[in-house]
Amino acid sequence: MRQPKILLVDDVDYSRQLLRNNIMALADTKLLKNRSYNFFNAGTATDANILFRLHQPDVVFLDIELPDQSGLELLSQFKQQKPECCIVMISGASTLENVTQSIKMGAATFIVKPFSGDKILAAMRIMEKKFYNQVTPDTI
Amino acid sequence: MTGCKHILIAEDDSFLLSLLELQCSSLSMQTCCVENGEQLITEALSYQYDIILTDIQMPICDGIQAMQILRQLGYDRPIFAMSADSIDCEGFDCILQKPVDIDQLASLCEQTPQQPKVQLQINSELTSLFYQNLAQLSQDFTGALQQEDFVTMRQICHKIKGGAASFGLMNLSQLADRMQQRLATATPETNLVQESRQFLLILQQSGADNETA
Repeated sequence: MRQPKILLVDDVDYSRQLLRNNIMALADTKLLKNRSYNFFNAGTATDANILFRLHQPDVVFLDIELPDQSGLELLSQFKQQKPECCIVMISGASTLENVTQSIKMGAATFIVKPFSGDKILAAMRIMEKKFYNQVTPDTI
Repeated sequence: MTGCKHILIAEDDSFLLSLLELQCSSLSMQTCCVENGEQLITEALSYQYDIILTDIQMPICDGIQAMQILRQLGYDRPIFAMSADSIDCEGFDCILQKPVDIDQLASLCEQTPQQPKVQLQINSELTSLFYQNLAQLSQDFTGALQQEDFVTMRQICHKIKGGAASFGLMNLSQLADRMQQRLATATPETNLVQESRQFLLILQQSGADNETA
């Protein structure tokens, strides 16, 4: 089974690590279909752009508040490059404007910090639905 | 009994909201109450509720818009609407007639399965990273305070708010949230420097508490 590629974009080190640890923990407890994932980390929008072009991830966890560019702008760029990419927006404070903008630009879902196991699982389940609808049997 | 289910109630009429809160509490449910659709969306995305109960006509964003936004984001848990008028709208799991019949609500809640709770996994390495970051933010806040750079201070509070809550420092998270709001909405008369100094002391104490733990 092909390992989904996940790009974690957050300027806070421990947030990326927390997401990665918890996705792996969910996989270990068999709450997710895949047992393993390929992770890539970016702390800035610039790095995220490079990694996105290079690896063409299946999933992006994308913080809205980045130091060098808005996560919403990145969302738009990523969806143009790879429309089928499942993008999970993350924010410490959601506003109606941010949420509706994210939906219009094609975000799959939206997580409001603080992180919880339930929220990460819910986002991953949404990702799984999209991922397994897209991946053809030959590529699994 | 419905067990200890978590219900999010959205209603702009404060009297009805209090009544529903009391009724749900009497059904042994944990309640969270909000007054408009925007708050409903934020709250539903912030915590994982077993049930959402929403009024239709509310300010800023009505119950139907809020439900549709949540559904577009893949929210698949039950959302019940309540309305004095008869409405026909896809996306709600049930539409209750106002005033809400508490027995009907109890029955619906009884049938709703309680969502399994998944604990956030935090190991010592992660905790250590968090406290290193907190120490850095504390230094950055000190520097910004000396410059009276309230924009940077607000951004730092925003980061602390999200991170601290993930690591169980709920008090610090709430204080950071309050400080962030104060910094965003302060008038010239507000003694922001004094309030910020008090916040910085608490921030530094949070880091020190970890070192002595």
